[in-house]
Amino acid sequence: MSQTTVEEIYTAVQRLPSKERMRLSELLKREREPELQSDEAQTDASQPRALDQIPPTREAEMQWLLDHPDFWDQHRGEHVALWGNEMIAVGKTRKEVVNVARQRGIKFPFVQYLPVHEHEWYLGMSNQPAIEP
Amino acid sequence: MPQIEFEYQFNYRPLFVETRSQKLLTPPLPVIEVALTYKTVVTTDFALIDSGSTFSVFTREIADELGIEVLQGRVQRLSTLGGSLLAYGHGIEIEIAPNLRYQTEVLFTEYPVPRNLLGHNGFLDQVAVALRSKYGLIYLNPEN
Repeated sequence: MSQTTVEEIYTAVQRLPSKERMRLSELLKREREPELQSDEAQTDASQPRALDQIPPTREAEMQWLLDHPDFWDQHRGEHVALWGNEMIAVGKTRKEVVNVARQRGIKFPFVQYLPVHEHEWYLGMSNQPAIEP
Repeated sequence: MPQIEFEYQFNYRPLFVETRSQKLLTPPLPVIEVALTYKTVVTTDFALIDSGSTFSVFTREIADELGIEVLQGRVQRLSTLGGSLLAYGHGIEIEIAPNLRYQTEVLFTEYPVPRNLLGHNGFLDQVAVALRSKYGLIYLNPEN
């Protein structure tokens, strides 16, 4: 059985369009991040800042959600944890899905609640103390 | 006219929204990812800077993750376009950038909500904000 060498993979990657190379680079970086976070936790007793451990954008996670509209309909009222292009966990509570992510070494996953009702999205259009009767 | 220098710059980001026919991203909005700390537990989430909001409001699920007993907080009834809801005030630490962290009270909703808000109490009373929507830029500076 022939084995693919790193050099062969590298040659193939060089033939990819730049957008695809960037995507591959992002995927490899994401794969390494939990490992790096774990290394940091072991070597740095003062704990790295949370905001240093999140990706600069969450575009990959957002794209995943846009690419899976059926998933929303199947999981209304639930929370989904994502990391890059990967769906990590879906469950009834945020805590539950975050715990699954942390068991996999992902400290701060992207978590989205998928509302049951459309009107739930409107929080933020106005938000004032209610006048009590 | 007083002039303010801003220490931090962020880019606008889209949020999810759902209409009857589709799921989509909003146009980019003044949204930042913040770290919330209660005792020793930390989590992060997006929050929309909302100058129309009196309070800073986070989903109940974040409180649960942080180990906060939501219903034991100061109760506040809120009115929104989606109806009224109850929320509960709790003291936490908010971190936005290395030198931009502070203790404050925010509200946690009674039920899960799909987005968090940074309003006057708990954010705009702590941070000077400039928004340049044309360029999708947010400028922040700690208030002294």
